[in-house]
This record gives sequence, C-alpha cells and structure tokens, in this order.
Amino acid sequence: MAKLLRVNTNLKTIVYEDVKEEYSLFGGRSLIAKLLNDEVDPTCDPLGPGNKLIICGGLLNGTVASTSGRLSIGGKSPLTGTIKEANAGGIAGQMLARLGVKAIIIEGAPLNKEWYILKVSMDKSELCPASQYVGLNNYALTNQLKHDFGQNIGIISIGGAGERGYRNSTVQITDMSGYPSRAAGRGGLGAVMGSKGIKAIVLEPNGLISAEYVDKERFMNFHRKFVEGIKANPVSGQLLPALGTAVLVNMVNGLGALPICNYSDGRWDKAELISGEKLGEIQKDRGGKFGHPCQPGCVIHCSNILNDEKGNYVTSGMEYETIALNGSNCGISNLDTIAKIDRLCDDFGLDTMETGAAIAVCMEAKKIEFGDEKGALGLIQEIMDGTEFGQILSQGTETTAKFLGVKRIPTVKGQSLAGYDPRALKGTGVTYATSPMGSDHTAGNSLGDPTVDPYKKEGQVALSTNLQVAMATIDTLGLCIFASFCIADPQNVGYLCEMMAGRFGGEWNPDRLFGLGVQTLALENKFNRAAGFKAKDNRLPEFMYQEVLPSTGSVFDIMDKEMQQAIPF
Amino acid sequence: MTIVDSIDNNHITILFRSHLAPTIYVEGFELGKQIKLELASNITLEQFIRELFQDIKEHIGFVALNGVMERKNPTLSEGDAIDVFSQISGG
Repeated sequence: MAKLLRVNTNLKTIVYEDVKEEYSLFGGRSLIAKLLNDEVDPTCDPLGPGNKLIICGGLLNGTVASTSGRLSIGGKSPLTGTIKEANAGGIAGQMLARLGVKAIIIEGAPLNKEWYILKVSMDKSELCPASQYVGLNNYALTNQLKHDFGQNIGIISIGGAGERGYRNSTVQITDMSGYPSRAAGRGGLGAVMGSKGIKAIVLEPNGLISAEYVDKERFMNFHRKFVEGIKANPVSGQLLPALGTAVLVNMVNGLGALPICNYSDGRWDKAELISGEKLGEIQKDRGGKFGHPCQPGCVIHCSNILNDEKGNYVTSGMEYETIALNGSNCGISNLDTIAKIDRLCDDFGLDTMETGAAIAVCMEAKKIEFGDEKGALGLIQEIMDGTEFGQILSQGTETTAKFLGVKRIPTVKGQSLAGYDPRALKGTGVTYATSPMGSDHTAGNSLGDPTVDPYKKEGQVALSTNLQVAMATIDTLGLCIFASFCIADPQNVGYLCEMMAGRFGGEWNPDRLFGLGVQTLALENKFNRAAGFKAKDNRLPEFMYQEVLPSTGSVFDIMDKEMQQAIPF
Repeated sequence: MTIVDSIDNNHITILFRSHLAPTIYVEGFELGKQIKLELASNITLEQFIRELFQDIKEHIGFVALNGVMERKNPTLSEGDAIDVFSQISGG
C-alpha cells in the first residue's frame, strides 16, 4: 500500500504515513486540492512556512496505463494567489509509484536558509545537505546529481529562478533521455519548492512496488482497448507522433487566434516560419527527433529533441505554447531563437509562457522592439543575472506591465494567457477566466470543438464547463491531456470506467468517473473563495472586451453574469 | 494525384496540406506536407473535402482556405491553398 511521505524542512523530519481511507480515491490534481483544503490556510503567504508543496501521481499512477506517469505538483501559487496544480511528463511519476509513495508533502521552511536534496529510496528517504548544488541550473544540476547519486535516478529540480523565489519559476523533471526538460511550468511552484529549501528531489531506481488491482485481468483487457482508442484517434495516433504540438501554429493562425505582438492581432503572414511543419523540415537535416516519448509506456510520442545548425542538442519538449508566446506574440519568426529561449527557460527554471508574455509587454512598452530577437534573449539574461529589471520580469507579466505602464495586460488572476486569443476562441476564453488555476488553457481548451462557433458566445460557457470537468478528471487520473482526445468517443470513456473498476473495484460509469473532476473543481473553488477570490475575479483583461481582434472582427462578449454559470461547483 | 471530372478537361492546380490522412490514396501525401493537386476547375471546397475525407469528416476541426478558416463553400480557384485541420487541443 502506497504511503504519504511527509517532509518538514524546519524540523528536518521525514515521516512515512499510511494513507487515510478518505484519500483513497484522490490522486493527482484532486489529491492536491484535498490536501491543500485540509492542511493549508488559504490566506497563507505562498512563500511562507504555512504553504505546502505536494508532489504526486494520479489515480492510475503505478499501473501499466499508457501516459499514466504524469506527475502533479501543487500548492498555493505565488503568482496567482490561487490554488495551483501543474503537471508534467517525464520519468519521476512512475518512479515515485514504484517507490511506494502516493504523495510527497513538503512543509515548513528552513530557519537558516539551508538547502537540501531530498533523496527518496525504497522504504527510506533522507535530506542531504545541498549547498554544493546551489547556483547550479537544471542542466548542470542534473549532470552533477547523476554523477553523485547514479545515472538512473529520476530528478525533480529547480534552477536559479526557484532558488531566488521568482514568481514565474518552474519545477523541472527529467525525461526519458535524462534532460530536465519537462516543466511543471505555471504559477511559480519552483519558488514554493525553493522556499522549502529543496533544491532537488532525487528518486532512486530501486523501487519494487506495483499497483494493486481488484481485478487485474479486467484492467488489462480494457486498457488494451483504450490504447487502441488512443491510436485510432487521428490526432493522438498519427498527427502528434509525426509533428508534435508545434503543428498547432498553422491551425491556430488559420482560425485567427494566434497571439501576435501582445495579442494585437490573431493572424500573421510569418506564421509558416514558426510552424510545426517548418520545424520538422529544419530538424530533418539536423538529426533532430520527433515522435519522442517523455515517459515510459506512452503510445503517443508527441515530444521532440531539437538540434542547432551544427547538429548539437539545444532543447527538447519545445511545445506550441512556447512557440506562440515567444514567437508570434513577440513578433519573432526564427525557430532557432525560440529554441534557445526554451533551453534557457528550462535551464534556469522559468515558465516559457509567462516569460514570452512578459517579453511581449516589454516590446509593447518599446523597451525593445517587436521582433528583436537579441533583445528578447537579453531580457532573459537580465532575469538570469538578477538585474533590477530582471527581477521585475521575474515577477511575471502583470507586474512587468504595471511597472512599464502598459495597459494591455494579458493575464487572468495574475497568470498570462496562453497561445489562443480568446476573442477568436471564446470557449477557451471562458476557461481562462473561470478556471481555479488562473489563465490555464490545459484546464479546458475548446479548440476544434465542432459543437460551437468559436467566434460566437453561444454555447461557450457550457462547453468550457464540460471541458473543465473532463480535464480535471484526466488530471486526477494522472493521464496525459493527449490521451484524453479519444474520450470524445463514448466507447473509450466506457473503457476508462472498466479500468477504474479493475483497479479500484466497484461500479464505475461516466457519471462517477467525471464526478472525480466535479469534486476536484469544487475543492479548488472552495480554496480560492477562502483565499479571497470572488466572481468578479473571473474576468478576462479589459482590452479583450473592447478591442476588436482584426483577424476575426470580434471582441470577447461573454459578460460576467453568463460567466458565473461556468463550473458552478 | 489528379481529381478530374472526366467530362470537363479544365484543370486547376491547388496546394493541399492536411493534419488528417485522406481516406483515399493521394500520391505524395504526408501529414503536414504541402503538395500540389490537379483538380477539376469547377470543384467546390465541400466536394473536395467529401472526396478525400468521406469516412472521417467528423475528425475535421476546420478547413482553412488561403490561411483563413473557411465556413462557406466556394468554388476553388487556381493557386488556392487548402489546409485541413483536425480536432485538437494543445499544450
């Protein structure tokens, strides 16, 4: 039976706890929501000792279910002040399950700013002094930790950004190639980890625990069918393995929703230059890879490994969002520059999306010009160097924009929007505004949904609600968002229900399955209300309601009263 | 691949790229790669889509004509660029 691993960096204690029965059907995002409600004062300082950092797999973690190794990281966000769950792929999720750990709960804060490596082994964990690792960014840190602890470890780490408490800092996780390129990116959780004095968590590869099944044969039979469903879906089965998420650039541009120059337009005549198709063409000659899985057992293989013009590794896992926010949103049409930005962000531990949005507001303020690649890289260097302006940038887009006097601030609850202009994709706009996470496209993205017109308001609130429930369920199970595409087919939902019955027993139907998502959202809303958030906070930036998006001729016109009907849990 | 009405000898050449594999054989097709196709001059966009994707239309997110989402059914012209996008959400 998996345990909770409770670590207090003030008391320097590590305790393995039995999991209370009431937590047995909580995992991933729902477990984070439950634990934060039970144990954290929602009004606490996110970087103070009262906050907790929770690291856990989903309900299907430890099983053979494809993509079930997602790792959820959560706490109160220093960027948004809301509850926050960010999940990422990589190898750590499954390793944690094999080590018999359902969740790591890190609490307290070191009294004298000490730093530690938390080493988790089979039945034993320890806090190792880490002063020699402080100041190392994620790539160098990964190499050093592998040298010191073994080549086959899993690593969950922070770079300089998390060490310094930057509110746009990430937690990075090593992938199957050993690169620290999988980011639990949004909301500044790297700073929370840093506030606990944890530089890295090292997972030893000696775990022996397998998931327990009530009916393993039932689980395996229906898992096989579910995997067939993933492969039969044209997106998860063919498109993503071939070209990755970068393939979205042309699609979103065609829709007129691509963020251009701080969301001043939605369609760009240079979109092709930063498209997934272009990326594939360039990388073919350089020996880069597409169809790269980030975790063992994944059948989708959507990730990439990218090389420079000399064929040397630059970065991996460069996704659509990074390209949109640092590319078109900054007027930058050079994929190599965007790849450099991706690498710098992963290394230092910065959210690529928040970074791109912050750079774009700097461009709007004419600190540098739109399209200035050297200038953009220079601003990231300022963040890394900790210059006065770099420290402003490190607090996120909203702080940067207010400092510079920029009025068009593309954030909700302090977190930057994603790579979809909500005036052209209104369902996603509702999600941005109402998600308990702040502006989070993965919480419920309406792109390509055939049941609504993306430019019109009708049906968008209901659609966003349904999508948010579905995604909260997926995040609770610990599956990848791309494995969820096939659940548009009710048959595949049925297979998931059977898998849950095989794993946990009992009767599972779609209501019970998606009830996990409803429960999660209800807990998240409860935490946020107690933290002081109200309905009035569920709004898009003012300019989105007033400024016509040239590509579509639309404004965002879903008003507060309609918005309040979203996720009414 | 030429999709030509046997009665009408007038052809147009268009650029075609798709995120979904067509359900009929299209020479040179690769996911995401733009290829040239010869079509009958009076073919409409809907006819073209139906011809290539008849069994899997429900997987199409939308079609863009010359880079812009197209919701009407225009007759195609010489040099038009058609992009077929699937239902997808990203990360």
